[in-house]
Amino acid sequence: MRDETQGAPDSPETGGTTAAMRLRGSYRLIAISTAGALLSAGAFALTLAQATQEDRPTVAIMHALLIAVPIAAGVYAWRREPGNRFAAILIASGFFWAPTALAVANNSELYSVGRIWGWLTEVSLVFLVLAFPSGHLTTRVERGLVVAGCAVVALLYLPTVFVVDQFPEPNPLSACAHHCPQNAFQIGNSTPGFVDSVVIPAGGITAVLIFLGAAAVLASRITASTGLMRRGLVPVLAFAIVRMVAAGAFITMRRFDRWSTATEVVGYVATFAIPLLVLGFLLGLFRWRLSVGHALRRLSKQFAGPLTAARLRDLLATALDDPSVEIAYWSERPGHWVDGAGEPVVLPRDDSRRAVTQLTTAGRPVAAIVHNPTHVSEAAVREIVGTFAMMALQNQRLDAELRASLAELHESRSRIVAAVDRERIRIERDLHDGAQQRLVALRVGLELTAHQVGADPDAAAAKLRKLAANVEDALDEVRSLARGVYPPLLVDHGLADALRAAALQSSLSTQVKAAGLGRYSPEIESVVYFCCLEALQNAEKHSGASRVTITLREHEQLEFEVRDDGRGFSPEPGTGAGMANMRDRLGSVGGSMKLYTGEGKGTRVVGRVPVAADRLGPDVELLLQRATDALEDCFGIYRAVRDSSGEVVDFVVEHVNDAACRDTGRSRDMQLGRTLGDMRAGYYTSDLFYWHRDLLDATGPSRLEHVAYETTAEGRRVRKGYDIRGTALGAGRIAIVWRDITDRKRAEQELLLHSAILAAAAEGVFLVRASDATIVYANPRLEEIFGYEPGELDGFGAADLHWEETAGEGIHRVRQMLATVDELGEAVLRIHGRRKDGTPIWCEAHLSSFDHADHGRVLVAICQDRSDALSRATEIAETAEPFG
Amino acid sequence: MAGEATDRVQTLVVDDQEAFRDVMRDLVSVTPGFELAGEAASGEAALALVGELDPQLVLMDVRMPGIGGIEATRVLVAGHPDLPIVLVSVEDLNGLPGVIGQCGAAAFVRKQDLRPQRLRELWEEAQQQLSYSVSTRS
Repeated sequence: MRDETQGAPDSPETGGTTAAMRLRGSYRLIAISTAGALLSAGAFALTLAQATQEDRPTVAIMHALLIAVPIAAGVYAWRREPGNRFAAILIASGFFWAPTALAVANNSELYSVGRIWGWLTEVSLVFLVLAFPSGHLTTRVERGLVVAGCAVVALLYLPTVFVVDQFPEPNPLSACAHHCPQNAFQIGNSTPGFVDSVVIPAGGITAVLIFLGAAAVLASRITASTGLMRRGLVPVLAFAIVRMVAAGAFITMRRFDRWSTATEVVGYVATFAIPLLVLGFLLGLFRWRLSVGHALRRLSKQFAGPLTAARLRDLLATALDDPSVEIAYWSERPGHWVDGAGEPVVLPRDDSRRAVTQLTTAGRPVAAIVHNPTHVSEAAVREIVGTFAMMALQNQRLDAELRASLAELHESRSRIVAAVDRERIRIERDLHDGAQQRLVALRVGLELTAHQVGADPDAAAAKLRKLAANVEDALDEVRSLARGVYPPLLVDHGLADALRAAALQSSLSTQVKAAGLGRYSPEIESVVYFCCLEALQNAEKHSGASRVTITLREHEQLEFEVRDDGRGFSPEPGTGAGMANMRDRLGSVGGSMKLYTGEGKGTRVVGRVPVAADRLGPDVELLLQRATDALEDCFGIYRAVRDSSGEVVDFVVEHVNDAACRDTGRSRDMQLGRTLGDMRAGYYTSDLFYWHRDLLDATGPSRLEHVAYETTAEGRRVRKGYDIRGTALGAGRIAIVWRDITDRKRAEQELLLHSAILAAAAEGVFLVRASDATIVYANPRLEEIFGYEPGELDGFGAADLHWEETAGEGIHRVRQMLATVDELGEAVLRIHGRRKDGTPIWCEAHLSSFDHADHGRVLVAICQDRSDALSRATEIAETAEPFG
Repeated sequence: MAGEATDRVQTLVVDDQEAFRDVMRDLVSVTPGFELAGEAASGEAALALVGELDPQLVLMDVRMPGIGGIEATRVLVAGHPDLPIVLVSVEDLNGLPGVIGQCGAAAFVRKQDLRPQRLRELWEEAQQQLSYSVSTRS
């Protein structure tokens, strides 16, 4: 089977399996081909032996072809593209049609079976035409036509078997003319009149209509499609129309003028059109593959450089020849489809206007391509996108996912800010209405009492005592307010004591079970405390419970549970601002919360907060760490180190996230406080250092694709590739986010090269660096053509291969060729060259160009030695002409 | 004026805080020449009571639930142009909305500055200039 996703083609395991499968597959193909050949020969021999008519050789050939052509075409197509569903259907059709040969038998039973089988063959033809090229019936109309065909055979044809004495004659597949055997399955010996006058004509008419319908569906598909799809459909349509029209005409003519030569000829046309139609399928498949190949080449050329979601979409739209293409990416964390910007999207339903092709890798969805099914089939999408764009899609998917989670983070942060604001307003209101008013009243009351002291000391003393009580109330209020803002017990003694104190204040009987708790960061303690309090207050207000139990424990995470024995409730999505507030607060420290409740079941609120990495350092580092460790990308904050003159000489690591530790292979402790120059060889002279330095003064974010190369036995290759983004934080600090794109870089390089070179391995290929006309690569065949030793040509000037060798000629030539290629895309030139031994050589060269990761712009020439044909030509000038 | 039936200034105290109403009651009762006409806990209640009690002076808290002191003053002044209304608040003028100058109040005073002396001064000023404006805001 073809692996439609990008597996691991070079892993020994998969490679071995594929090879074994291929081997087993080819044995199977040989067996199928042999069986098909035997069957075909059998049908031929049977016809010659049994048929009585003069033109029996024609009929024999027809039967042989009817079996051999679809099997051969199917086997051939399968070999070209193992797993092609339509190829399998073609093979099956050849075997399925074989029993129609029985229609040549003299034995009436065999003859009858052969004739009945002929009807089934017609239905299968309609199916084949409509299922091309995917092997599936995609629209309701297509399915309807096939079902109608089955229904006509079942209702209007098969029942006649029991009542007619003869099958309709003549029949091009039986060749018995006037002497055909009787129908062996007739029950009784008379044919009811209505069968002849109604049922049989009705069958004929409906069959003709279905044929025409199938041809019409195909024609409409062609008018609706452009590009890729149309190229494959045209040959099929041409033969299908011939076949369908001829078959319809034959059925009609047989009814009115059965023994005329015209009827006979049309019958043969209808029958011979079947193997022709099968060849049409084959031709269609190849043209289609050819178009896919073109699309791949187009795509491969444009694939260099950084990709944005929008550019990737445009590239795919161009390659797939479908301007309506849309891409949705799978986002793991929310678990839904998002667009390139991270906004959630809903995929359309598969129908005749929009098709959705989902691409997966390692069983996980990556992207969904929404396209027009009449422009490009699902198979083409898989083929094209699966080959080239998978890596880019995967990258974009991560990008989109990051955006989606950032959006979520942003929302949650806004909610927290709003909650904090509400809290502030409440505190202000409490202060204003409570303590402040009491203090003001006290102020005025004291003044009044002062007036009274002289006149009525007793009354003044009573008033003072009353004012003292007022002071007590004010104190209480301030204390309770302070406790609400941040309970002093929580600060001094931690969660267990603070919650026990809160439990004592509760109107419900509340028990706090907390064992083995430590102290945690103020953020975590405060979040857990207020979540428990919120849950407790909810229980007081809504649950009707009599008892509440708060349980806290630390087991890798800090866990809390608030359980009441109240009436519970049916939680609806988005239940209450209180719950959202709790979730947001927990989310701010990386925690989560679950609510277990139901009518009559009580309520249980369970929350968890990770605390392991929590006691490391100061608060800012803590928050930063938690936020950045969630990133899949590497992240670091570096501070500039300056010398006495103020020049930046290095950067010291202030922060790195988990991903960065993994990427550099150093733990956080090994990095914090050390300088990059200290840790990375060659950092001071690298472009990275200069980029970091420039970043300090940059006004916006910057981006760098940093690629390091290594020299191996095979030559230079990408050692590491990084997509780096950075921004200045002020105060001499920069924040850097980077992502390992080594695989993508290598793949890009390889793909670009392969698309240009591998296709032409049998021809001489060389790459010329545009900047100085130096040969940077020549394949063995080229060296052979020009008579050089392997590897000898590398570093040669292109001019060395040229016949008119004058100073500067090579560069001039290459520039001229580049200009031609720029203008035409590709070009074919005749080049007069010089072999190593000085003898002249004529080459025909296909030229194209691309941007090479190492050498910049490179001219690719694919050369054929045409000395025999061209050396006698008098023209020496190299003429350029458009390619293809 | 109806208030001149007795010789003491009939004063209505409007405040949502009971603690403050307590102390205002004391203030009015110890200030010679003043008498408590009644108390209201909201702007709305004050509007109703003014018609009923026909006070000569209103001490109105600025910040109360419901329509609040500023709006209540605006309505009262429209219906009783001769009734002086003194706005009171724990905030100083800078902490209060600018519209306080346009609501028609006779004067503004901080709650903590209220004492018998100040109360008498407010009344005298109001007598001299019924349309006293609080545009003295600095």
